[in-house]
Amino acid sequence: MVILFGAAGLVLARVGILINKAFHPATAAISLPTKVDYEDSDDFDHDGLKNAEEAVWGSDPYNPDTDGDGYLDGEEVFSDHSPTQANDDSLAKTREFLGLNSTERLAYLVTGGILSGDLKTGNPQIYAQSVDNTATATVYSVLSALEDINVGEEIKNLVPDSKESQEKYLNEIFKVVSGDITELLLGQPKELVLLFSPDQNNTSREIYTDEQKERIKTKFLQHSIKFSQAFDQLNNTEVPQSLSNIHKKTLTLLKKLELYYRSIALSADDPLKQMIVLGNLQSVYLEAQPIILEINSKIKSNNLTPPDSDFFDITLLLNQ
Amino acid sequence: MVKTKPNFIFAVLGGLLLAFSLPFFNLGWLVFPALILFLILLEIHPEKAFSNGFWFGLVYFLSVFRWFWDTYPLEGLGFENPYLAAGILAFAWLLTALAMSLLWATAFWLSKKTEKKTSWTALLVFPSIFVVFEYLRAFVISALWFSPGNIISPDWTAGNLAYNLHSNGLVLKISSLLGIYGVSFFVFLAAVLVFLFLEKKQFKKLWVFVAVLIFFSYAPYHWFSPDKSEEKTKVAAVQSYIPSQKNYSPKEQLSFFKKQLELLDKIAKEQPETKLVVFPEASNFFTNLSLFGNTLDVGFYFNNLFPSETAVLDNSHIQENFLKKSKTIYLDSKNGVVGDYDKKLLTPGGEYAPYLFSLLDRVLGIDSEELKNFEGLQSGRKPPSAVKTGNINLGALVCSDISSPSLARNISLSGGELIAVQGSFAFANGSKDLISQVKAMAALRAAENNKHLIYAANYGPSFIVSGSGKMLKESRNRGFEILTADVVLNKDKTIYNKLGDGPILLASLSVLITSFFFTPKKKKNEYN
Repeated sequence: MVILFGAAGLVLARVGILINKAFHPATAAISLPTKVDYEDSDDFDHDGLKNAEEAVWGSDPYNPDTDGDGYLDGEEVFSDHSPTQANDDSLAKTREFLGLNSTERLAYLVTGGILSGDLKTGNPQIYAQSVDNTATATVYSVLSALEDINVGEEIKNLVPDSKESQEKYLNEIFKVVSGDITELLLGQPKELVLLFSPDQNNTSREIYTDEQKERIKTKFLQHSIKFSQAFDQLNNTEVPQSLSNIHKKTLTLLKKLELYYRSIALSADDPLKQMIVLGNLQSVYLEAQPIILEINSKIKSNNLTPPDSDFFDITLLLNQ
Repeated sequence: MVKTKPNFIFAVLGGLLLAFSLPFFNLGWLVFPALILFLILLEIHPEKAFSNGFWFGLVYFLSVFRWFWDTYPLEGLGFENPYLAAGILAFAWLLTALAMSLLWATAFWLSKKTEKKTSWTALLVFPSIFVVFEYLRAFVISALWFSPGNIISPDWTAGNLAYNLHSNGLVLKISSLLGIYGVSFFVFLAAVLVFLFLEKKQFKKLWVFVAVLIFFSYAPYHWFSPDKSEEKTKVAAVQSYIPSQKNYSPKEQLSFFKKQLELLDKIAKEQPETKLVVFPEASNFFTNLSLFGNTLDVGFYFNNLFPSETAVLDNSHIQENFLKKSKTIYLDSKNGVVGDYDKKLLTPGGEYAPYLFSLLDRVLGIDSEELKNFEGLQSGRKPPSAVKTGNINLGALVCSDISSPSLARNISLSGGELIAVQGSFAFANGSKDLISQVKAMAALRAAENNKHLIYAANYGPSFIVSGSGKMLKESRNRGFEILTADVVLNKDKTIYNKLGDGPILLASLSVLITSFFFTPKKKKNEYN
C-alpha cells in the first residue's frame, strides 16, 4: 500500500508538471503505448471488437486472434477471457483494473510495471519517459470525456437579424457572464489555494481530509450550478440569425464549464482526475477569448454598438 | 521667567516647534530653534531633563504619528465597529508616541547626567547619545508592534530629524556619507554649538556659523558633482486610485484592471522607448492578467507591447499555501519573469495584527471578530536586491520599506542603478501628512544611495527623485494617470553604501560609554 501511494505521489507530481506546461488535449504531443492510426468505430480485423475496444483490451486491431489461441478476440472478451494471453487468460483482473478510478489505475500501472520488471528503474531517463507517457495517456483519457460536448444544432429562439436584436443579444451575453461568473473567475486563484492546500494537521494517508473533500464538493457544485443557470438564461434568449454560431459556441463553453466544475466536485476520491480537470480549467476559460474576438469582428462588420462590458474591453486590449 | 512657569509648558512649546518642522509644514529649519530652546530649558533645569525630555518628545511624536487617525474608521481592514476602530487607533497612537518619547527622555537625562553644565565637550557627547537612542528608537517600533511572523529590526525610522530637513542640500550631502544617523549627529551638534555661542555670548562666531550653515544648506552641489552619464532612460509610473477595502466587487476589480491596461497601453503607444514601468503596491496587475491568459498568452502580450526590452514591476497580494505575501514581480517584456521580492517591512495593524492587539483583545475580553478574521501578510525573509530586468539593474522597495535605510542600501550594494518604490496611501485614505513624510524619506533614500528613485503610488501622488534627493517630477492629480521622466542610471556606490550606519553608531556608542567614565560625581542635594 505504501509503494502504491508512493507511486501515486510520483505520478501526481509528474502530472502536475505536465499540467503546468499548459497542457491542452488538442495540442499536446501524446505518445501512447498502442499505435493509434484508425477510426474508433471501425473493426478492421472483424473479430467482434471495435478498434477503440481493442485499444482498451490491448489487443491488435489488425489481428483477429491476438494471442493465437484459436479464439477470436471478440469471443474471448465476451466469454471473460483475455484476448492477449493464451494461458492465464482470465479477464477478472482486467475487469478489476477497469473498475479502478484514475488515481488507483495509474498507481497500479506504475507499481505493477516496476514489480513485473516491465518498467525499468535502472535508466532514469527511460523510466521518467515511460511514467510521463502513462501519465499523459491518463490526462488525455480524463479530459477527452469532458471535451466532447455538443449542445445540439437547434436554437430555441432564433429571430431575424436586425441591429437592435444583435446588440440586445450581445448585451445579454455579457450580462450573463458578469456578476457571479466574473466573481468566480476573479476569486478562483485564492479559492483554489485555500481549498486545495493540504491540511498540515492531517495525519491520514489521504491527501485531503473528509471535511476538506466535503468543502471542495460543495463549493464546486455551487459553481457548477452557476454555469448551469447561465446556460439556461442564454438558451432562453432570442438569438439573431447571424450570431447563431457565436451563440452555440458560448452555450458549449458554459456547458463545458458546468461539467468541469461538476467533475471536480465529484472526484473527491480520485485526486488525480481532480487535478487533471482543475489544471485544465484555465484553458477552458480561455476558450472565451476567441468567442469575444469573433464578437468583436461581428461588431465591426455589422456596425454594432459594443457592449458596455469591462470584460469585453479587457479581452480586446489584451488581443489587439 | 522660565523658573516661575511649569517646566513642561516650555517643553511642550519646544515639542510643538519641532512638530512644525515636520515635512507636512515644509518648515524644516524649525528643527534648530526647537532644539536650541530645549537645550536652554535643559540648562536651566538639568534635574528635570527626563520629564522635560518626555513632554518635548511626546508632543513631537504625537505629531509624527498623527496620520494614524487618517486610517479611521479602518474599513479597509474589515472593521465595522467605529468605536473599536477609534479605540485601537488611540491605543496605537498613544503607545507609539509614549515609547518614542520615553527614549528621548532617557537620552536627554543621560546627556545631563554626563554634563550638568553644558560645555564644549557636549558638542560630541550630546549628539552621540542622541544618535544611539535614535537607533534604538528604530528598533523599538518593531519590538512594540511585534508579531511572530515579523522580525525585530532597526528599520522604522519615522520621525528622524533628517526627514524634516529633506530639502536641505547639506543634509542630503551628509546622508550620502553617513546616512540619517550622521545627519542626526550633525543637526544636534549644530544646535549645541549655537546654544554654546549664545550662552557664552560669542555672537560674532554665532553669526559666522549660521551664515556658513545657510550657505552649505543651499549650495549648488550639483555643480560640483554633475551626473557622469548623459544617457537618460525613460521610466514611467502607472498611478492608480484603488481605495482600501476588504473585498472588491467583480465590477470594481475589472474596472481597475481595465484602467491599468489602458494606461500601460498608452505608455507603449505614446512612449515606446520607455524602459521601466512601475505599478503601485497591491496593483495585482499580473495576477489579473493571468486570469485572461496562460503563460504563453501573457508572454505574447508583453512581447508585442514594447519594441525592445522593457522592465515591468508589479506588486500583488499572493496566497502561497496558507500565507499571503506582498510580492513584487520583475518582468522583462521580452524574457518573462526574471525575479521577485516579498515585502519585508510590513505595516503593523495594516498588514499584520501585532501581538499586542491580540493580547489587548484577550485581556479586555473584547473578542473582536475583526481581529479574528484579520488576514495578515507574511513578511519576506530576504532584503531587496537589484535584479537585471531588461536593460536596468533595479531594486524595488514596497511602501513602508521606504523607511528603512538598510533595505535601500542593499539595493545599491547588489549593483542597483535605480530604486523603484511601489507605494499605496489607500489604507490612510490618502493622508497628506503621511504623503509628506514618505516624500521626505524618498529624498533621503535617493540621496543616501545617489540613485534616482521612482515612486509609483496608489491613492496618492507618484513622483521621481534625483540621485541628489531633489524632487524632479510629481503627478498633478491623485487619480489613474501616468507619470514619466528621464532618469540617469548610476552604478556607483556612495560612501554611505560602503560603510553603512556602522561608523557613526560605533563612534557614538564609544563616546557614550567613554562619557560615563568622566561623569561628574553628583553633589549632595544637587537635583533637589
